[in-house]
Amino acid sequence: MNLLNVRNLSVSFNTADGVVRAVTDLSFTVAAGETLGIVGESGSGKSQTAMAILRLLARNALVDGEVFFDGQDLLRLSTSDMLKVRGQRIGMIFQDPMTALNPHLRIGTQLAEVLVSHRGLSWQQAMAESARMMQAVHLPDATARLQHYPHELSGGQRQRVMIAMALLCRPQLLIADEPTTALDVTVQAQILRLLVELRREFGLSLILITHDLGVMAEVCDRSLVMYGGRAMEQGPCRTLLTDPVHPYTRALIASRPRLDMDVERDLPVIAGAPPSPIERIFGCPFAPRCELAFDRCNRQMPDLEMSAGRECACHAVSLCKK
Amino acid sequence: MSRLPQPEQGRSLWQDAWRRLRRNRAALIAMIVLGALVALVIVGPWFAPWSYDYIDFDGDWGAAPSLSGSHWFGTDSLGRDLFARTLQGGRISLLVGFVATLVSLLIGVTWGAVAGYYGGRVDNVMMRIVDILYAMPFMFFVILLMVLFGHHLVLIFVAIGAVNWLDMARIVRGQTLSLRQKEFVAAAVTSGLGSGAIIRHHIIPNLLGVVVVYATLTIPQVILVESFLSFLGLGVQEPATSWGMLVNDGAREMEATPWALIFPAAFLATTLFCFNFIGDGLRDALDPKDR
Repeated sequence: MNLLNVRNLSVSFNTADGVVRAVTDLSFTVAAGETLGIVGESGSGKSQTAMAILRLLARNALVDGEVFFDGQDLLRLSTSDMLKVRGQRIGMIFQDPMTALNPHLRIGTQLAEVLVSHRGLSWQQAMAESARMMQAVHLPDATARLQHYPHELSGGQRQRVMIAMALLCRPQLLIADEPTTALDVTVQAQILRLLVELRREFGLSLILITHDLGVMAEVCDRSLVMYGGRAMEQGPCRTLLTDPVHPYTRALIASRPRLDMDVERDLPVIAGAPPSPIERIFGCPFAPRCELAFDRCNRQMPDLEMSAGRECACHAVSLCKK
Repeated sequence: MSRLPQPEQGRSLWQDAWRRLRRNRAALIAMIVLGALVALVIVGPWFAPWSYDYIDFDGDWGAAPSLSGSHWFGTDSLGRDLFARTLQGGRISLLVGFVATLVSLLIGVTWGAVAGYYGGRVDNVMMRIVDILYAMPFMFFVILLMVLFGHHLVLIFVAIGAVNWLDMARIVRGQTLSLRQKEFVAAAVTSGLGSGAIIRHHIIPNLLGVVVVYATLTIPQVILVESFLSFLGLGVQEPATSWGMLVNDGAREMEATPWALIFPAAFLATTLFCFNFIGDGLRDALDPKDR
């Protein structure tokens, strides 16, 4: 039984410069207890997908498709029902823990507020529960920390607070939008380990949005590779990394810097630039940069081919022929 | 993670700002002087030897200030004690300054925060209302109020507050628009808080820095507007007085009795300076880029 089932999701924005297409015809599922990694470069529509699931998009957004969460289509829920889903059933953590906490409120106030409004706890109960959650994310001196203000905590500690906040009402799904991008490497590892641990402890499903293949490899069960707002390839994380099929996935994995390479000379790059989201693209968005592209790639978007738990959208390569 | 001893209580941004404000010498002196002035104006009239509306028939009319006599600031052309009148005028001026600013603060912050937070059509309608009110001639509005309801101190609060909140609403709306984009607001939305709670708990506390600075700069402005109204005869009515009125009266006779101009003018100027210094100091103290 899939916890989250996204079908044909499209997100576009009406702007002064025309319609901007962020996500086109995206489908994926997340099973209970599973971790899905969404990888892609900047502007590939990863974050907008997450925002669309929680209906947090800007006002000028047009969303199409279906987002079934536990049997309910989130895109068709009333605003007040959506308030109950956010926080209580789906939690989210953001990229930059420096700006994601209100600088003028004590940490305890920000945490307890969520519990008071959702679960109707008294302030004391909410504070006690917040302290317990702070311990669960391994913040030392949890009770004392509740009295502190965000600027007194380090980046990693703040991200822990954010995670605690997202988990307060015991959601079934946690969406982490590049949770480690703003942190330095040693702290990154700690936060990832914490996410893995909490996933087990709370029986969470997790969507981890990242542009770091290493992060994905460490944490995810399955991954989805996005480019130009579309799904390129999807499959179990390990096979996808060791045996990529889609030319974009391959190029992405090939262009990872290694310590033993001279970055100036040896680092392979994908030539060209990502497509502008304003232009209407009929073919595969990666075609202009793809080594294997032929005419048809520019005219027609390839269908998703499915085989043995993997999916790949490409005219040039096929999952079966490999 | 560090196991360093942590203080039990956190230090809020306000406590930080307060510490920085105290280190700013101009602001510190301004606060002390203003505090003394306010205390003098509030307590002084109870201890002054004369009442502000009593005409001293035994003394000279327009007597010069003397420390040996009981008229320390002299008397005005009607023989009333200027010391008592200056303190009484200060009460009214400061009262108008504080109350009218408070009124404009309450309306302006609520209006601006709501308009800025909801944005879109709500914002458009609310801000166009502000624009329309802006276009209304202030003096005409005041004269209309006075004609309809007669002279009353409350009307001055209403008139000034009704005009001043417009600026406040615009400033607050602008700030709210940028706060809305901050991730902590997004985080609050994702944790399922309603709009009202977000405005009250997340937007307004973050606005207060700007609002406090603007308010300290509004108070002197309001005091000046009141002086202007009194100057035109639309403000406080005799025998009650305000600093603006005293300056006006004093200016008329400044060749014969210069002290009737100098003392109230000095009090007024000192107060305005103090508020401006405090406002400047607060702005520096609350500037997040300093942190």
